[in-house]
Amino acid sequence: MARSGTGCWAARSSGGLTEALGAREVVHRGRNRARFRSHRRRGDARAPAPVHDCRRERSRRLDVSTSSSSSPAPSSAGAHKFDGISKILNQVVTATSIPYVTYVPEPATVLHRLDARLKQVLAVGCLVVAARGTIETRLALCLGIGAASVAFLPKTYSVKQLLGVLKLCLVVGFFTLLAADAVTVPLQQRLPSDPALLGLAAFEDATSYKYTFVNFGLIKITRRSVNLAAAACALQFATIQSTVMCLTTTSPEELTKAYTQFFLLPLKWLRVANVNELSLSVLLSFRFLGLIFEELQNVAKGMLARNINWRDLKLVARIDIGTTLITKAVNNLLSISNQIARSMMVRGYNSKSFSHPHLVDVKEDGGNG
Amino acid sequence: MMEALSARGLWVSRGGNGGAASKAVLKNVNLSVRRGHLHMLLGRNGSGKSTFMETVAGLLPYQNGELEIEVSPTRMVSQNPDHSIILPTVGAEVAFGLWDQALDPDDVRERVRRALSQVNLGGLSEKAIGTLSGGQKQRLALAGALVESPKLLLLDEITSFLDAENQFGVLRTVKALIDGDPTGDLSALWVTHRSEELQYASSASLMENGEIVGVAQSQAEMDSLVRQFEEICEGQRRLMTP
Ligand SMILES: Nc1ncnc2c1ncn2[C@@H]1O[C@H](COP(=O)(O)OP(=O)(O)O)[C@@H](O)[C@H]1O
Ligand SMILES: [Mg+2]
Repeated sequence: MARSGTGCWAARSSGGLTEALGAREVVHRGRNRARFRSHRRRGDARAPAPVHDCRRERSRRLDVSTSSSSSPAPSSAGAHKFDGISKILNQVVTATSIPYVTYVPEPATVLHRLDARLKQVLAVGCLVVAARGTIETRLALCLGIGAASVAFLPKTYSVKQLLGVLKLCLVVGFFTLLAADAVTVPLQQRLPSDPALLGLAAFEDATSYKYTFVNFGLIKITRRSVNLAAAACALQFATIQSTVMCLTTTSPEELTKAYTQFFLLPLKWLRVANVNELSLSVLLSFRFLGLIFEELQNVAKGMLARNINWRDLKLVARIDIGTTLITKAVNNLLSISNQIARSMMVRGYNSKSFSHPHLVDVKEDGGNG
Repeated sequence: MMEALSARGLWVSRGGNGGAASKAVLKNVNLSVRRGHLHMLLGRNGSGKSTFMETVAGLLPYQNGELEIEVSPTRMVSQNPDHSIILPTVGAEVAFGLWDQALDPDDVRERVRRALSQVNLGGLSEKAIGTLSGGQKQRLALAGALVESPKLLLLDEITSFLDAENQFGVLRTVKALIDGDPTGDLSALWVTHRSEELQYASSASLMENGEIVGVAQSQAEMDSLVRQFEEICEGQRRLMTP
């Protein structure tokens, strides 16, 4: 019993990635468990006990993880305090990469039908305007991008995703506003020696121009900080949102094809780079984007499942747990890349023979068996 | 030859970089898989099943014995689909195995479509990997192997991360592939530690401690092999509990 039990435990924890589950999955699991049991009864005549023990162990594990990752069960409400850190962890666990960096094929929109190369050119155009434009053009650009997101992206996620990006930009803008001109450089006073020249008080407030808007000593909001904050907001919003629009409506294959088989063609002609390898690298990086997201979720889930009471911990202990888990996530990612490299070998990869990147879009007409 | 794979007196050591510290993990393994068979290799965790698989796949060297693989190509699918899926979308992932062949796009498309429908994933080729369930991911890994029209599939506990429903779904899919192969040449070596899966096997071997300790040539002999496995597990349990 102990032998097979530990075996199962190891299998589950090493398969951490498959454990990324939303709250919805709880229902399915309950159902599966029921099937599970009926299966067990049916198989009892022939199947050996250790396998069963092993599975019981597994389903018990599932109970633990579901109850802790969905909502605090009434029985353990005392132990499960949702303070700040747990709340953040919970958000990480329930978040998905889907409306941010993952391609969402359905529902198809106008943007889905647009040529990938055109989309890339547009995205680059947005970046250039955001980086070099005046404050007015930047604001106009942001309004344009925001309006386009609402108009073209599927309603199922566009508004929520847009608000997420906006929130992030506003936070950045707010801190820029406070910090940009907070530290005043002490300048040497250079007043004229002739006291008559000091009587310039009449010029004060002759126009409505004010450099400093708000001044509470440490917090000082000036014309410069407002400009800077607006620029930071606009730049960030334009960058993130135009990228998101591109990524969610274009499949990784199309994107890869656009820049390796079109924009980077000169490199191929000049023989400066192996464009086939570049295609593979680009595709692999798309895969890893998803993996990193999942791995962070696993770490967050691990922390939630352990029911750590963050409030009772000293800062040092919190940092200690945090670094341990981040180390674990990084190690997991490294081990996964190792495994993926291995699986590339198993599938016959070697850089010489793999010279035909087949980036075809296999559009099928339904027929889900 | 009727055999797709045959190993005779195979010895494999692991660890210690082949020096004195390395330990014999496979000891005198005799195992053969007939063409058109779904052969199952049953054994407890740590009995050496994956080591055998990796040796057959050519990832590990063997020190002694004979290993003959009569058919080609051979493709392996491993335990955790997250570790074997290479590319970010379903279609690209399946097509990856074809990157070493100059095919035209229509041909690639047709092959990818066929492989996906063989594992009941038809219509999902545009999906991102992150949006698939565990069972779908494992089917996808299988499709990635099938697109190259292999003659021998090496499947190492591919159901161990799946729930009961998906476990038998994937197993039935593999069984149907083998039974439905037009040439009757496709065979598979299925590694497992779950004896209830043996009801789908054409033949089976039982591995314990790096040795083959029992063989069943047909379904009729399967029950006694399962009983032997149960006894081994029972004995081990008694050792572990004081
Ligand atoms: N990389 C390795 N180096 C050294 N020993 C290993 C390695 N991998 C596995 N082993 C040993 O080989 C034995 C069989 O392992 P494995 O083939 O993975 O078993 P199974 O797949 O049946 O669970 C185990 O005792 C394990 O300790
Ligand atoms: Mg194994």
